[in-house]
Amino acid sequence: MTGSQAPGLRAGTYLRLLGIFYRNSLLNEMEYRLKFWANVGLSLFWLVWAALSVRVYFRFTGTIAGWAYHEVLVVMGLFFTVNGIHQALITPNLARMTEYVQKGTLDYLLTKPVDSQFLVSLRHIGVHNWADPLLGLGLVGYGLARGGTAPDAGAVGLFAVLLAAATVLLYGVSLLLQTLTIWSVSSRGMDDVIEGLLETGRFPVSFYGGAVQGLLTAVVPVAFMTTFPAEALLGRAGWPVAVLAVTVSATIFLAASVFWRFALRSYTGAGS
Amino acid sequence: MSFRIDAGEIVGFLGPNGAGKTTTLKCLAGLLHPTAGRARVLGFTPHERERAFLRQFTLVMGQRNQLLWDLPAMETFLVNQAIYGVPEPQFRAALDELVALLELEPLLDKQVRQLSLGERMRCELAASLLHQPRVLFLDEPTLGLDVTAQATIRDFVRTYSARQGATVLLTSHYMADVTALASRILVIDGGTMRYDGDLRALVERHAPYRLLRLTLDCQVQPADMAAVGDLESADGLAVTLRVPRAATKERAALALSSLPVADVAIEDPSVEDIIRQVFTQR
Repeated sequence: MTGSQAPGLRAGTYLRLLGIFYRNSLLNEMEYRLKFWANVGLSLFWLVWAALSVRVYFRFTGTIAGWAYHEVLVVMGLFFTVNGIHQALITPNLARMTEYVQKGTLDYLLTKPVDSQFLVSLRHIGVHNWADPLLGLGLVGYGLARGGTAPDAGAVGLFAVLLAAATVLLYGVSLLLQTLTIWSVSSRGMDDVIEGLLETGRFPVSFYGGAVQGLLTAVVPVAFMTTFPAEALLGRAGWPVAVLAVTVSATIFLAASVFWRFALRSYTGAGS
Repeated sequence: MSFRIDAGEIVGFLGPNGAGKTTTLKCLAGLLHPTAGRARVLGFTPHERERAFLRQFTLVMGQRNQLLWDLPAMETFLVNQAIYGVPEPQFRAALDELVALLELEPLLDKQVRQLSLGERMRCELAASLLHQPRVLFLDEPTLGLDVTAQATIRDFVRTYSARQGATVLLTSHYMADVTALASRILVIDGGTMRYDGDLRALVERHAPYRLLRLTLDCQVQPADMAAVGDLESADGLAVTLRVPRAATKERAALALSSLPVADVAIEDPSVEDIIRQVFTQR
């Protein structure tokens, strides 16, 4: 960091910028208010449909791989929550990478005296997706209520840490992949790949078993996004999982930041 | 290629497509690392992109948009105020001046997508100048604009630079932009400097002739005009002759006395032609 301002002042600048950015996004969305309600309706439909379709299997069995129906609902609720966070926070920013590189507007971002990673990551917010994480958490609550067990404060704290780590992790993976756009120029479809991988988080990883379970924990860390936070709420996970999750997400975050900076050095801009 | 630009100069970059004009600007703006050689701007090494450097210049690219598309331009101005950390009184003063110079008042509340290209470019310029940069990199700022809008932008850049003492580096396909604004021009091609100096000297060096445009009363044989000058073009009774710059007056007098002239005009060759010559004389 260079510049004469104190670190405190800089943090203030970034917070003020966030305020302005999100006001912009809100004003933008006001233009398309119907979209918000259409999205809420659609999300609600998919939520109910997902819950009902899994119900079918539980007509024939009490548990699958050790998970009861209400516990699967908690995982599924978390899938909708994390997916919603992805749609509301990450996609509106990182999915623009192709546009930034193709239209050359990345040049404008890079000539601003503000951290470029901040600008590409938090410039926009998907206002009409705000309801998705809330609907997801609603399903989590419903699953817990159905099971008849309320998590204690420790479990909720653990859950909060794991959900935050999941968000950072998802962001880090997305930035790593979208940064490739700097070389490939177009990464249309990259966001669909991330969404597709996330889709496997609909179910507890133990459903998949064996090698796939290992893959979803260690290689594509989807387990950290839905299964582990759900286990925290259900009293199945302890602090070691949280320590692991924080370590993994912090590592990926740092790796993505380093990779972004490395990519910018080989960025040559669009056109002549 | 090597050059140095002093504070407050307006310098025009000329050259064919792909000559390296934009690349040079990008190097100076810190977007590209020079593969060889060194660039210094305001005492900074551009590609290190120090904040103190980024605060002091602006980059405007005619074909690229930084305004928020669905919102009024004012929203982008506020974003840039926050990005550059411009204090409110300074921001208001800069904004008022830009609004007056660029006649933005009626545009401020309109969504950017509803603006014409010329209106949008005026807003782009304002957005880029609110932090009162000392150096302006303008890459094709008038691209695609109609003649009136081009003239507006041109007048603005001249006035603004004079008022703020800002240094301007400008590239343009439109010769008129460069001739109207730049006191000094750099002609580059294939990454090498073909000319660096003032425009008048370039004209004298590469075009030591002027054009005598004659309208004749009746057809004249080319041989009869040879004493006046070299035939440049002929279209019916309209004839254009090249005459040595130093002997313009004598040759014009000769034309009037020896040829059936109805009308005469003396012109300088267009800068386009001269530049074309610079590029063909390798």
